[in-house]
Amino acid sequence: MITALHRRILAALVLLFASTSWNLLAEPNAKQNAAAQSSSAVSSDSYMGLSGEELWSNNCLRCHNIRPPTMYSDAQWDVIVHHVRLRANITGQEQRAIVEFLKSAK
Amino acid sequence: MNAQLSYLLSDYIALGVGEFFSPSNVFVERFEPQWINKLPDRPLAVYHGILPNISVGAQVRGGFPIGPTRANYAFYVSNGPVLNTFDARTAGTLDFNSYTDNNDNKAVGGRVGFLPTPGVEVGYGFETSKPSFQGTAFSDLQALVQSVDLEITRDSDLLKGRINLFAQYAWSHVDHAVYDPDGSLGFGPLAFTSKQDGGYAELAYRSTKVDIDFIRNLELIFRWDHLSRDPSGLGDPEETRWTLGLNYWLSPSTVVKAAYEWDQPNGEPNENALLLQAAMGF
Repeated sequence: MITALHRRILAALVLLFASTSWNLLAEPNAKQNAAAQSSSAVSSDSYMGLSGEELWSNNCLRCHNIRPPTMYSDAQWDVIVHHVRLRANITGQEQRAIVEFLKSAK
Repeated sequence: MNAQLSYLLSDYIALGVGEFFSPSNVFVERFEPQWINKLPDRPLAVYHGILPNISVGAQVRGGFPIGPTRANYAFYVSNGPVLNTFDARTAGTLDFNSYTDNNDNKAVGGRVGFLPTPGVEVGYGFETSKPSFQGTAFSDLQALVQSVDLEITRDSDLLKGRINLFAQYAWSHVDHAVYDPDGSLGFGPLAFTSKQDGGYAELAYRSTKVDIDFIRNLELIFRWDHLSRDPSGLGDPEETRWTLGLNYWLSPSTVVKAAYEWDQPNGEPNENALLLQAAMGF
């Protein structure tokens, strides 16, 4: 019989396995590929020096598909990314970098 | 539908008051909208009395860098849940959908998250409260709900697509109590410490790097979810589900979903079902 304790141990092992096997899914040059390929890539290994485009794809894709920059007006993107900041707990700097990218990418 | 007023205090701190999705439950905050939730229904445990979904109160939240990583936090004070005491089926469970502020105590909760690399987040959420009406025999009972979660999003050339792994496991504890102590409600005296636990793991794959549009718009999803309660026989029965889904994305926020769910409530007939849903986000 599987007890609650067993389920918690199993859950912890699944989390540990998923975390440790993370890099198996990525290619060694994933970061370079990500920059060269479409903006939908989520393959960076660090938050250091991420561009607004990378922050946009990395943060949005954590929850849902990304919408193209042309889908909304500048004013609408201001409101949308403000909402994302509150929901996904991104920083103010990240919010500004994402908005700047979205407005410049049209 | 909920509403809150937010104020951005600094790049790392935001304040909010009103009615909001409970930050202690990452599913309701981030994945609950039907155009985001990859399956037609919600996973067990996150909506079955273990974790709060809507809170009325005030919160402080934000994110901040730690070197090459990120961390985030959200803490809140709210009215909190109400302890069910009046019938055998729900005795000892928490009602998070009540807007009644039933005592002077306030629930305190929150979640902390850590992102070691972009696309990976682990989190821990909690809420502690005194959930019973003031002046009753249950008024000193303490309830604690907790949750751990993992979210992974990864693009892979190897797999020619994107993988999402979402997992959340929650458990709750309400102090020992005697329900219907004089038998006047017809089911007591019933003495127990109420515990519930459950969670889900969901794996999704979308072939975003394939050149054929039709194939690229398909997404395959698999989910396991589970709910159990101690003592068993009260409230929702123990239940385990396995769900296989196939989505077709008409646009980034418009989707048609089909899923088959193998549902095994303990001691009851199977409730297997074919689920169909169309959803659009605005």
